[in-house]
Amino acid sequence: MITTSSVRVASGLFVVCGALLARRWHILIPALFGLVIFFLATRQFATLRRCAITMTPIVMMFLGIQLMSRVLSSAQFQTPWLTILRLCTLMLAFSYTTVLFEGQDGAEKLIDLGLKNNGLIIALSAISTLPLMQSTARRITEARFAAGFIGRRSIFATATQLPYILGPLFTQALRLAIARSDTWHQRELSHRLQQNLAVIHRSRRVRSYELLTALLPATWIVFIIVTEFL
Amino acid sequence: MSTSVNSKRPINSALLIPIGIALNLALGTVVHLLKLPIFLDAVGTIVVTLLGGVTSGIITGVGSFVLAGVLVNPAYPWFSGTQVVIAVFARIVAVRSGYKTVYRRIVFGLLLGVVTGIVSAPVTAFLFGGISGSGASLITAYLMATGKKVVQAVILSGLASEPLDKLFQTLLAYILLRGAPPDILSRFDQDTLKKNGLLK
Repeated sequence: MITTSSVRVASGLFVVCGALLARRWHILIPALFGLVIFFLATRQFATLRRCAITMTPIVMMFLGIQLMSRVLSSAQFQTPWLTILRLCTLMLAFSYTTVLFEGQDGAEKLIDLGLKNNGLIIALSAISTLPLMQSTARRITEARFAAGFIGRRSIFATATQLPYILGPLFTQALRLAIARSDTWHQRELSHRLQQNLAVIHRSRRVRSYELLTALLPATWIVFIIVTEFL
Repeated sequence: MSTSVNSKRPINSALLIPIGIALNLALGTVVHLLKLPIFLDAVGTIVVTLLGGVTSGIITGVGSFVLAGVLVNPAYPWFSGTQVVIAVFARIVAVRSGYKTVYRRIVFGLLLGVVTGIVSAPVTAFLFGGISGSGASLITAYLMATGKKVVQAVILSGLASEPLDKLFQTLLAYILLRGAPPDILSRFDQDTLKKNGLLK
């Protein structure tokens, strides 16, 4: 059955394929523009901000390398703008496919995306394990700060504590994983999840306007193939 | 007793994967932000491969790179093939007791670097024009500026940075496993762990 999430994943994949196939930078502008409009229209400002924060150092690095190549020799990169725009498009496309729907929790979203059996268990445990690891790391850092091993609370000072955090964090994460594995095994979690899949899928049928949205990137790919390869 | 442990092993391996992904992302992100000419983004893959087998290692590597594509750098997912190679290589080495002594760990760590340098070079060269946003790209850019062709520059920078990086990663993965209590390690792939001196 086609669900809303699977349509969104398909649209994202179309954009990714288009970004890889395009060989001229201006062909990427419509996709980039369309994705930004989507995030603005759906009020996903946090996602846009995160993309911008991630891309800024990468773009700065590209510009620095461009400058360096001009200073060191007369050589210039042939496709820096294409690569920068390609990376921006890929970043937005990945974010588009992974943004959670409003009012839907993580587990339902994962089931809706088609995950089942061990895949679903991995994803569910990731959702619960990562925050636990984060809080453990924070506790160890706080304890070391209280004991006077860290001078100040800067990002760099915290990063230098990584070697001391890794060992205990890894051991605790393994212990938690085994405990969770035993509990889930006893409760036959995977079997019970499997039984609920059909019910959840029925409530996530795709609507016509969502299919229409997926047609736009599909048309864009056809355009790229016609203009670039034929 | 052994039957009950074996029946739990698939779920154990599945639950290892998020830990491996977290390790890959935590170390890889710090190194990426500091723009160091190393990666440190496969420690989790090596650890999970040693504990849970090659399939879990591959899922960890590919999963962490897909996630890093959303969170860190959109170039990451295109290097998923490299993670598959790391998991397969780590498994082959582990089955042959390749992590048992410090000399073997150094040799196989360096060898892993050479293999991954060659595997990831075509992606960097043809998909991203030689520059993928990592610290090693600075070496590539310098080589390109001195007149080397894109493919040459990417392979040379890969061979310059990858062996050292993978040596660090292999040693770090081993240290992490060495520090874990034996009662926890005994719940995973005991044969491989015993062969590599991690369990008695």
